[in-house]
Amino acid sequence: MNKKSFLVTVSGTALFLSAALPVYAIPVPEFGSCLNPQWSKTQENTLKDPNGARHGVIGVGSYLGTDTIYSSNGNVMQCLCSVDGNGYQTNWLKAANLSQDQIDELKTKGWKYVPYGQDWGLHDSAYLAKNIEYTCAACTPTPTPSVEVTPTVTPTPTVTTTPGPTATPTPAPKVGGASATNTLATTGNSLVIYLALLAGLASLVIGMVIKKFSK
Amino acid sequence: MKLLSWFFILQALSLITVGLYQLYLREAPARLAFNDYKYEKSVLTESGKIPERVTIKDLDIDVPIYTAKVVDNKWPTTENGASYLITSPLPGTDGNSVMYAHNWKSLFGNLVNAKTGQEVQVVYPDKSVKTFVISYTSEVSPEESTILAPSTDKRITLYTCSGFLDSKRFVAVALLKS
Repeated sequence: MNKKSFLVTVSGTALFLSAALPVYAIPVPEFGSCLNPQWSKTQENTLKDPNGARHGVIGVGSYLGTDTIYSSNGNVMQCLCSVDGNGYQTNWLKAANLSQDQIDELKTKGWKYVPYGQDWGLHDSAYLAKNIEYTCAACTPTPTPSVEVTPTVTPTPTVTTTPGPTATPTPAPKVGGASATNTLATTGNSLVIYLALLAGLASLVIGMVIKKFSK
Repeated sequence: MKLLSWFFILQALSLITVGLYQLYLREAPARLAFNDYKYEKSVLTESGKIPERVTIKDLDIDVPIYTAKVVDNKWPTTENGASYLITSPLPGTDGNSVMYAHNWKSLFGNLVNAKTGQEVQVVYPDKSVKTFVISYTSEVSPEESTILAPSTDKRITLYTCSGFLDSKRFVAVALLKS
């Protein structure tokens, strides 16, 4: 490889990598995690009746369980713990002040555009939503009261969309913890390390062999 | 053919760089920092009690506990057990106690198989035991440090590395059994 082709390779690689970087600075707040929410709780609702209404999770489905809503500056974090122990965290980012370019950029990162927040019990605004799964301690569903359950019509669950930041915020005093941190420490996986090194050496040998025989 | 050979050589350099970087992280974990960590009051100076072991029988986890304190923004780890962040509350008291360990089989490697309902026990030197029940698990990004933030309940947060090139953190949150 001569100097010119080397420069072309390096600049091409740099161009490829730069294309992967975000183009627009998008003000996405730190939503946090349903494992330890830091925002103000605004609503909590438990639905356990199998024949009753269900909580909706955008793009996923509707579930019985406990839906807890946290909000901050118009953005909403919805934490749904279903009766089967599956947790769904939905981050609702208010899109009112975002440009179309920013919205498009976020959509490429897995955010779903919701033009009418009211449809999901939110403010009269557009939102972007993103789901994160977790597991949680399941609440027990209400037992079916009657033995003779004969659903004659396919039940159409009334999906209650409850991420409405309407209730009075109830911030509670927090104790302990390791706050004000930005990243979690890494711990190193030996298998991955050795695999990477072995694959690298193998690749190097293959590259050298091909180079030798291509002369 | 020449291009192919250079592709392999560049790939080799990338993989070896990644491997060496991970090796560096593994062998020099004390250099890994929680950025902008705000030091909190050490609980040990208040109680003098240091938890001795942490066990999760369902996951064959039974390791000694070593204290860890962030100094100069470095996050120390040990190869011999779990690190307990002494700037978080003592396990069983109000707040969020934090423990972490390598994802090695002998340490927290099995933590990624944690299920809600499984019990975590923390043993103190006087052989008293605090029992917690896993209530949440999740795989989060390293930036999701709010899992370490204070809480209003009595909980213990255990975590280890997971995902491709340890790019994620597997977190299990257990609440004190009442």
